Amino acid sequence: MKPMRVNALKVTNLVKDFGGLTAVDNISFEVPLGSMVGLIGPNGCGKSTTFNCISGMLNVTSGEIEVLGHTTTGKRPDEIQKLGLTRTFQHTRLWRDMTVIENLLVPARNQFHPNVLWSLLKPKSRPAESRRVKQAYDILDLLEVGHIAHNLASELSGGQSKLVDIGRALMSEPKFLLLDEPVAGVAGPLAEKIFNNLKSLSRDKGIGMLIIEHNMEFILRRGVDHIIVMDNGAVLAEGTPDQIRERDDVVEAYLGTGART
Amino acid sequence: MPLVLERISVEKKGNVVQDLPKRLTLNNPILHKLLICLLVIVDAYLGLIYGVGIIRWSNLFRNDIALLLLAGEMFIGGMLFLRLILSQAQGIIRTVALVMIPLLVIVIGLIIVEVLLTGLGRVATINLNLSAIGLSGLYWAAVYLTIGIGLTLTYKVQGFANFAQAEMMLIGSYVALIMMWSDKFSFLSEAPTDGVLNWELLLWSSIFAFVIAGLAGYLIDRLVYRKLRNRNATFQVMMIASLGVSMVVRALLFVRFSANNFRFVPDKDWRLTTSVIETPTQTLQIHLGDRLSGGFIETVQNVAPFGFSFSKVTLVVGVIACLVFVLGILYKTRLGRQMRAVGDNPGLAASSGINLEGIYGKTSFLSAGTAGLGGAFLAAILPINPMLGLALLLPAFAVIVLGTIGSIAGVIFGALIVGLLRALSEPLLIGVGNSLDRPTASGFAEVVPFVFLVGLLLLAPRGIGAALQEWNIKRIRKRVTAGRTKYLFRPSIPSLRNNLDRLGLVQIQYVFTYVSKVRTVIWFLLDRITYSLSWIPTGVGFSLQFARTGIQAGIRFVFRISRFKWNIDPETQKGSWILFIVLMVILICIVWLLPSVTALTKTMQIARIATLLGIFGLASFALNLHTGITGMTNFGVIFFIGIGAVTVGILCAPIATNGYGWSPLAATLVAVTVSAIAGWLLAYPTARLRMDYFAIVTISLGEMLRISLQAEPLLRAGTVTSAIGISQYSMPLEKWWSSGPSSYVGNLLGLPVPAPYVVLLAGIAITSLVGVWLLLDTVLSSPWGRILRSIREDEVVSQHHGHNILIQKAASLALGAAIAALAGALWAWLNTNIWPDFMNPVRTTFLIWAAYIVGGRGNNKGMIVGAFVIVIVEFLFNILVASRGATSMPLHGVTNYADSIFSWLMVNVGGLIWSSKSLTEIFPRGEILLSLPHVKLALVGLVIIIALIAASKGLLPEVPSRPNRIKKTEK
Repeated sequence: MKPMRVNALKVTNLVKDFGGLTAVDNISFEVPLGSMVGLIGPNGCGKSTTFNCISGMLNVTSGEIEVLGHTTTGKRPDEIQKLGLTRTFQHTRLWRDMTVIENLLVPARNQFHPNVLWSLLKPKSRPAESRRVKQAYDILDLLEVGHIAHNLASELSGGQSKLVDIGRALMSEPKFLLLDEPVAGVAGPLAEKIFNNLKSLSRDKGIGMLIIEHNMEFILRRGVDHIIVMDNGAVLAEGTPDQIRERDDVVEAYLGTGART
Repeated sequence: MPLVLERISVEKKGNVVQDLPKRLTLNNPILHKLLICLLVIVDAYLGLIYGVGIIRWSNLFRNDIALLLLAGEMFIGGMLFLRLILSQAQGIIRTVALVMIPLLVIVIGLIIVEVLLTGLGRVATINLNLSAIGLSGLYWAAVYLTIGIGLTLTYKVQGFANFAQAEMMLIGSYVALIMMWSDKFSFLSEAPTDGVLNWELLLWSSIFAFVIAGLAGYLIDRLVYRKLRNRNATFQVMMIASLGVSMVVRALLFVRFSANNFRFVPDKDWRLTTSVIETPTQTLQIHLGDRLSGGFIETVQNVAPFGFSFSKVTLVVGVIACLVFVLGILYKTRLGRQMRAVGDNPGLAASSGINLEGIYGKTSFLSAGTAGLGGAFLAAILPINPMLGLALLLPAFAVIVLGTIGSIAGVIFGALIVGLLRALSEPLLIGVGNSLDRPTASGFAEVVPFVFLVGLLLLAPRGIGAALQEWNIKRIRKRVTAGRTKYLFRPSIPSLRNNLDRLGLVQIQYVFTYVSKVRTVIWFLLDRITYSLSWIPTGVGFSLQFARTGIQAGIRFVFRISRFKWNIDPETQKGSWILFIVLMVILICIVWLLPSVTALTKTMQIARIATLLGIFGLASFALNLHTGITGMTNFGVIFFIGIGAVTVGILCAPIATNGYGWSPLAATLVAVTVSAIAGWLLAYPTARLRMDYFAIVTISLGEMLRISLQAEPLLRAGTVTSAIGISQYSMPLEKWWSSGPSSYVGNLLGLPVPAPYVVLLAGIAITSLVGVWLLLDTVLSSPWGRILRSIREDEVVSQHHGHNILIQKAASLALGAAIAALAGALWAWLNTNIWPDFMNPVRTTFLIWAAYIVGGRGNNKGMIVGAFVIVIVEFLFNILVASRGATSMPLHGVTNYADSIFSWLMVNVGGLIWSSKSLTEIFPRGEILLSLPHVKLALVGLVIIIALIAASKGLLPEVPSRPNRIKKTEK
């Protein structure tokens, strides 16, 4: 199936103001379904704040965010997630005293109604539960961490945590993913593999992705469709990787001359 | 870097500015909320004045209860209205509104009383003596600050809520008493009054109280909190450990000073009626309700001047001095700068060369010392007993929450407000109470701070201190942008020291050097002493660990000879079960071996233990669900237990004596439902709060219910001897039991008489325990249990993965509350009457916490084991207490031996420190006996601390769920 060019995310005139300090200053951009968009910029330029506004962690000062055709103003993060948007955090936050497999099972979709009465009537709801368990193992295998499924999350290394975090985000079968530095701290070949996997996910399943990443190798050369460069809370430049590489101001502000060679 | 820091500090206060035009359209949520508010208020108003409206029409409730509900409805309406206003206000208006909240809440209360009384056709007269209220407010503020300063300091630097702070204050009080009884000073309190105030004892005792309480605080920090910090314990664990510390210290104070009240008399002249400062005053009379004649406010002529006693003046002055001292240290010295740095970011502070442990130690000394100093002054005003600590600690928590935890400016402000409120509430409650046939209503004055705290958390969860800070930041930012930054010259102590030689004062510099050397030696010695002492808890901890390992090795050995090769890992399902069964067998054997006189007493003893196991087990389940699974630190399990017990008691008491005459089964169902609803509602104000706020709110709720039991006539039924309490309620299956089964069971057990009712109760308790256990295990192994555990680990992430935190927490609270209410019902049946004292946290909440920690967080099997251990300890001590009676009693020798050791410690060892008068005052009959119930309390506290330090996962740790790979799901 060819992904349609439907907007997974549409940000219009987003402003976020922290009592006199404007972290995000009137930015607008769109991410279509089935495409991978990179969000780059120097430290403290407002990338993570933009993420927090989109995922509902922060209230926006003004402007509008549309996720899969629904405005998210005034919605809680869990309501926004139910629209089909899942995010990861820059500093991996797994549920540490739970096993890896449990970590993956919590966000799973179609958990029937997770409340007291239902869990009494249908404690494990066998077929659904085993379907979820199978899905979780499949995702772990895809990310090549199937062997640590029974470990506690607190026992994992930094790179493994990143992988489990991505796996957890995929469990809810999102239509749109916000990935905050998905391959930071993951060893080279594996990072490449993850990136390729993400790429094929977005192409095959039509998942839209917005990725913050400081590894320019991936952003500029591994098939990110579109790049947004932020600086000082505003969008400095926008375009395909090739276009971005040619922009002098971007190179000066963030990339450095090494990116051109 | 500074930019990022700035952003983080500002990010916390997120301010919503909304578009104006949007607010004015018809279908917006604000308008809807406003309409709901108005509807609620109007409904309540109609109900109160004209007897119509939803509550009246429903015809479910009788006179007083209906009025109570209507008043509650109106209060809720008012609070919703206030909240709506606050959510819409911005900038300076918002700050002002936040600061004015206390006043607004009082105004709402007065309006409700006015409407209520108008509806009843009565009038209430409230006498407000202005000077009395102002000065008493100041006095209460000083009392709360006594504890509050240290609490805030600990919070600011060490980051946790210290429940042992009030005990530090008591140490100061008792130091003052010991000084008063000493040979050097005892003449002062005994000598006849001579009209001259003697300050000597007061000054010396305040200094000693400061130093000794400070040293105690330092010692505790080294022995307990340092060990926890070394294990990277969370603040939640530190808070629970402080609960254990407070239990131990309080119990030791009980053992040494008994439960009697004592008063510190610095000189007999202090107690004269003339030792007061007379202040001119004015009395306002406010008439509320159905005013036939006269106005709303009148002034009363010829009022006698109000006398503010000298002892209260010294307390206020002393506390202010303490405050200035602490503020001076915090903001004007290098030490203070280091302390603040450590509080902000310990890691960064350590890497910039600050000795973290040194700072923590000094902070503990300072915060305990200030509390001790205040305690010495307070002892001259209030009669001192070891329970006073808790009674003052909780309002002090209300104060620091009100002033935003960790903000010194906020705590001063909060103390003044709560103090004034406390002073104001007494005349208000007396006036209103008299007109509503409740002459004992002034008992509620103690509750006012808590009610206020809960209300405030609904309106402004982040406290007034945050509002002040927000305003301050804005002001400073404005000033900086206006370019009017000022640099003030402040002489700092180091620079002064360095400049001394230039001034030709080299000799003074020697003094400085000398002092700093002596200080170094003292700190070094202290450090060595505490270091060697600190091996004691570790040793005990190791022996605990050793015992567990031993049991495991034993099991392994047994299995080896029976050719099984199982790995007994308690963190797997199988290992957990095996360990559980072994522990249960051991505990049951202990119960079996407990000495008893006859077969009948033996039966009763075992049945009682089984019933208590049921009650404590259920309560621990509830605590485990709230704290162990969902991660909400609940210090108020007793609140839900109390709801269960009181509801069952009142509904089942005979109609003739203020009850309702229901059947026990129906009453239990209602009790469980009411408690579940209360739990659900509790989630709304508290779900978004930090865990320490939640702990404070829940423990306050328990106290609120306990005090209400004392003061509210609606909560009394079936009176026997006194007006307070609930009794004479019917028990489940009572008639059926006595009509036959009792003699059958009696025969079966080989008793000469029919089996007592407690045997049936034991059956009911164990059945409900097992039933609830099965239910909980089903629920917790379902996806819902997983979601709750993820909330415990990191609720922000759970929310971002699509789970509604509020609803899930509410459901967890409701389920736990229902279980606790069932325990409460059982307790009511076991005790056959309910006195307010049964809700005393020392006898309930803290024991349940001990069971929870010993048993193992997150594991229901552990809860049963923990509850069992606690119940057995309780019984062992009961037997020990009884054994004092006669030489023939079992364990008489043990008790005797303990008594003689205690007496030796008190007279021969302690006598080196204190005078013999200090012993005869407390043990007037000359025999120095060890108070065993309090030794038990100390032991329970010690077990909590040691378990947290040495085996933080408890006897039976949580078993993580590990669903296996599914081989083939579809055919």
